[in-house]
Amino acid sequence: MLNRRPKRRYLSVMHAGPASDAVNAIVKRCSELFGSIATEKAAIRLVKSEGNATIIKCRLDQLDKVLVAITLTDPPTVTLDMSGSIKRLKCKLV
Amino acid sequence: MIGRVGAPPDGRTCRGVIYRLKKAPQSPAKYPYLIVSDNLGEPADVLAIKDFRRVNEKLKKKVKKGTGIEVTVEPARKMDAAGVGKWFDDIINLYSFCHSSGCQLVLSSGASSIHEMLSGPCFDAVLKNCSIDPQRHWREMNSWLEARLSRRVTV
Repeated sequence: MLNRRPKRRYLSVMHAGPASDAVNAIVKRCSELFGSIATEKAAIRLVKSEGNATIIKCRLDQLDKVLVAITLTDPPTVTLDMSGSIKRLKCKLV
Repeated sequence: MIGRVGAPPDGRTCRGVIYRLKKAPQSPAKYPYLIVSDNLGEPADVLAIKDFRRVNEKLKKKVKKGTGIEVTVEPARKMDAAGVGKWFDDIINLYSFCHSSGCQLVLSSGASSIHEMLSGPCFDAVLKNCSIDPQRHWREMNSWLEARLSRRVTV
């Protein structure tokens, strides 16, 4: 049986303050709302940060949960765009 | 993609913007608008609901068919997990109430700055989390909006 790598989505988010704080707030909110197991499955990671825009990645199968967590995070974070690859996400943002 | 936004009037008219007014203008307006109120007794296009559980019974008696019932996301950011759970449950109940009473659920960001705005996929994720089909919701929302705006006298 083929051991396929799980699909990911790259999200570009706009926030105030440091990128690590924004990502930690999203992870914390996701854990509060959907539990630790779902949050671990989501594998939310900081990829790249530039100014107040940050690229994060998560597992595709948990995308809706991550989007809900981003929506309900305080301080507010705005999802700018998302894509299956960083390259395409950067193209969209430029 | 969000093609239209609701905003308070700022003296300018922009394409794709529907203005949220507290009272109907005295003369025919040059811009599309909706009357928004948080008072159940007032006639309005959109009723802004803060606590569905509190106004549930009043809403059943007083709301007119075709009225939009607005829920904003902004207060849910400040809630704890239990509060957010109740907030989602209220949206589910409100959605079924809207269906039975001929009203329209209006899910709004409640944003007062660019940092509080929500993208289309985020709205869809919130709707999916409430077991609401986003495509169906936006289709119904579009028809409701067109019907409401077509009733307006504009110059």
